[in-house]
Amino acid sequence: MSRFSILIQEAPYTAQAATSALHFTCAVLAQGHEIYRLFFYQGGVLNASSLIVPPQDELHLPRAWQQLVTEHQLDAVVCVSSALRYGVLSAEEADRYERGQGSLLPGFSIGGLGQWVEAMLLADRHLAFKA
Amino acid sequence: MATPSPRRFLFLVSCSPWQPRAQALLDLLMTTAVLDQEVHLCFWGDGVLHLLEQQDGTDLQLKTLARQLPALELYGVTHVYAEREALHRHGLDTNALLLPSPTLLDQAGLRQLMQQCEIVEHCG
Repeated sequence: MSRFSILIQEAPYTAQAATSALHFTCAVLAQGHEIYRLFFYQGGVLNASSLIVPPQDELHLPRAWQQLVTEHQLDAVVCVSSALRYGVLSAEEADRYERGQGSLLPGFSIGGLGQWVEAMLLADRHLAFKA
Repeated sequence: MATPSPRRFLFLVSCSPWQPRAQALLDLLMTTAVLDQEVHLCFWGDGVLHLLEQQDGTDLQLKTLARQLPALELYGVTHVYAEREALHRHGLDTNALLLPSPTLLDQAGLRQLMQQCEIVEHCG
């Protein structure tokens, strides 16, 4: 069994990267491996947004991530500076910046880049998904 | 946060300045350096344009990434490399670069460097 850390750097629906990352993560878990951490960076933070409403006949990528994270109790961290830049705010940050309600899906947490560096160091393998 | 043992990282920059991914990689590099990891930084291809002096993004309303580069030494980032051929191709004088005296590499040198580093991060 190996321990994986996964970096997701692309927004949903702009490139294949986020969808591939989701499928890869599912495959890793299905093979009995461990996910040490999912880290959403740059446009990838939009995968944790509650405001995305895709057409009904398309995969709802943020909801699929959320379901996976919840089901397997994964550590899913959203980079704080990217999240602020892209408007993915936790309830606390929405309050702090006076932006009404938050837009971070439940199951995800906000964190810093140091958590990704740590994830690289502690995983057996780390992969980055970007366009 | 756990305190993992130090590893050797290579950050390979082959995208030109003014691209958001360059800033993202630099942020990651500085975070890595702060966590006491051994950091190597290599400018390759169009990435050598980061070493051009007197860059100014004011007219583009962009942050000038180049202004952060001289501070890298404060983060303990002293292993800096640049592609020899790319510097020549872009007409950059090795004596007038933003970061003084980077180690000049060719393809074989980069290959060797990549083999020596345990973790390679790339933006291109």
